Amino acid sequence: MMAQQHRPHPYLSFLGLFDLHHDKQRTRARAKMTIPPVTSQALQRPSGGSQLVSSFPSRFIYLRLLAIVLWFRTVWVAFWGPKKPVDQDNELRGKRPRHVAVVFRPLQHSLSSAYDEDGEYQSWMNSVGNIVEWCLSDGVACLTVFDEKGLLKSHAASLAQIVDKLDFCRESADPPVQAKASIQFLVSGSPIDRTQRERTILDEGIDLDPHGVRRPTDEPQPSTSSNKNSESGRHVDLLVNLISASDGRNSLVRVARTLARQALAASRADNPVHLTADVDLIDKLIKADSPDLNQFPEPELIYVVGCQSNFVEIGNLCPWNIRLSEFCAVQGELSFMGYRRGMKQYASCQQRFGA
Amino acid sequence: MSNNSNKSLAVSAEPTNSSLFSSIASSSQRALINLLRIGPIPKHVGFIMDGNRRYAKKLGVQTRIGHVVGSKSLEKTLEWCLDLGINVVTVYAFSIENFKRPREEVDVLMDLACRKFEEFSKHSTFVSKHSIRIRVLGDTSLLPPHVLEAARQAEASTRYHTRAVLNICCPYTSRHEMAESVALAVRGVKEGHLRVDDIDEHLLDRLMQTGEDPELDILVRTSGEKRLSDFLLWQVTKDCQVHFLDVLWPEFSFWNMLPVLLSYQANYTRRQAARIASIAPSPARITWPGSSNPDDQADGTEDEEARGARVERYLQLLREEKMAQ
Repeated sequence: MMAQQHRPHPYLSFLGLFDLHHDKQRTRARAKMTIPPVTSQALQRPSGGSQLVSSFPSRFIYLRLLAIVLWFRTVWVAFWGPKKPVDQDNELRGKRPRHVAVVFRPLQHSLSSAYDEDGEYQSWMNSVGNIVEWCLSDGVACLTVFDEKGLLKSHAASLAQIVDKLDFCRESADPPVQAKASIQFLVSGSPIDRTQRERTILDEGIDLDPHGVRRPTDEPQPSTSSNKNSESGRHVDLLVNLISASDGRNSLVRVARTLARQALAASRADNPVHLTADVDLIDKLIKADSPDLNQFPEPELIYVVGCQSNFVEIGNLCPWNIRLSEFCAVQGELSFMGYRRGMKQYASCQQRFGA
Repeated sequence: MSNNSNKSLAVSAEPTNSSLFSSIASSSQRALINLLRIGPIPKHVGFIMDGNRRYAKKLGVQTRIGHVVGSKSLEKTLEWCLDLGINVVTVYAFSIENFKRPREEVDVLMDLACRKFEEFSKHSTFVSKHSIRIRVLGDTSLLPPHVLEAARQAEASTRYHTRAVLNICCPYTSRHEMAESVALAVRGVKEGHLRVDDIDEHLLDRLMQTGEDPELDILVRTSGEKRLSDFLLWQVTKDCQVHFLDVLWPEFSFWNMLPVLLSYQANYTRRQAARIASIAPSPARITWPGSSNPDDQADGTEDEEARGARVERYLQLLREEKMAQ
């Protein structure tokens, strides 16, 4: 088969293709050896221990050893390694948030040449549809959606109609029947009614007065009933609250003005009783601003959609309510994987509450 | 910008470890700081110093050792912050909620804080070299008397330092700060200094305990937790970049902060443009004490000027009251 004098070099045998000698014997030998050169080499037993390390067949042995090591590792992981749950829901069984918030950040600012308000708004509308579906399947009871300019708020009625047409079902274990999920939309904590639908338009400055006070004689009443969760008292599967920048820090401004008016009225009436603005009172007043949401906790998990790579820009959310919320930064759009990541993060977080 | 006020570019002496690696690290740190100073530097940075207890557990030592190492880490952090030219640093030293911790741990923390304040008030080289003004934010009435006294001393003795400000939040919660600011606004109306309509976002901003400081640019939380835990909630909702870093506070160093600063610089122009785009024609602009009211020619009504004057007078009154304490 092979001429002894043409015993090929172990490393250079594969270089036979570059051999420029046109010797017939060598050509024939090469032809037999190019694919695979290994087999003929493997049969040879090179002499000398030092050759074992550097010669070609020993590399093949290394590959075998590697394969054996990997096999052992797979076996070990299968029997003794950490178990990964097969069912995705098992990962969340520990803790699920009841109130989830989603903050849509604009990808471009409005002076940029690439700014496309309509396109952005459309993608946000689609995202809301997806997020509503995912929240329903995970048993989230309240969803807050924020965008700085209030684009979603101003189209709340059409958004409600679109989501309604999507006909989401709610899971019901007992009785096991597929019923249509009932989703209620709120705008800034209040139900959408016909007059408000007509009133809310794109420009926030016209909807509210310049300092952001919704109604000039607004005296927030404490929530009187605990089951005011819908207009007609029926059970709501998911409450979606659309908010914007005017519901952020302005909520604290409204509380401050209310207390100031009360203090003024008390001092004019020579009433010695005055309310000290402490944490509990302000908490009560802020919650009284949106009574429909009082049965839910503050947002426990906040997705910030449209973030830059490694940081979160929160935007003008109500600072009072984000004290203990977990933040999940999402670049680009919120996909199901991103949503799942946030839920897993919430399920595995350990809140120590200062202790 | 930072380059007009800083003259020394060298960092202070590194700790005693004089291996080749550490000297290479420190000289490259110096070089990087000088390079970063060419670009925009944040004016106000906040740190949530989380992870001391987990660090102690990781090393298998007592919790108080973790807190001691954490305070050393704070000093090192302040060194390179000042070399970078960051004017205001706010740190979350102790939360009002932390009083729920075991008594011994709270005592350890209070003693540490007391020692730090005493060190600052005796004009430590660190404070006087960098001309740092120390402020203690939060509900100081909850502090034990000796700590409160030391804190007052530290504030008083550094009151006239102008180059940098260190806000130590101890004990602090953001809700308490917001409640205080609302209470001050209500008091202003009640005593006739202000009208009800003068209360707006800008006024509440000025009445916060960080009211005299520039806007918060960056907030960093260490130890990987992704929440704010009642720290600077008001300030953070205003155009701030929040970074959650997966490193424990005692191990936090300049190298962990480097990507944060680089992303701040990379996003600076976008942020400025967004800021310009979002400025609505609001009546009052933020003005710093001592500076003149900038652009009131634009709306220039009698009301706006009068309002601005009322607000400034009330803020001056509050400052004088605080100085007199």
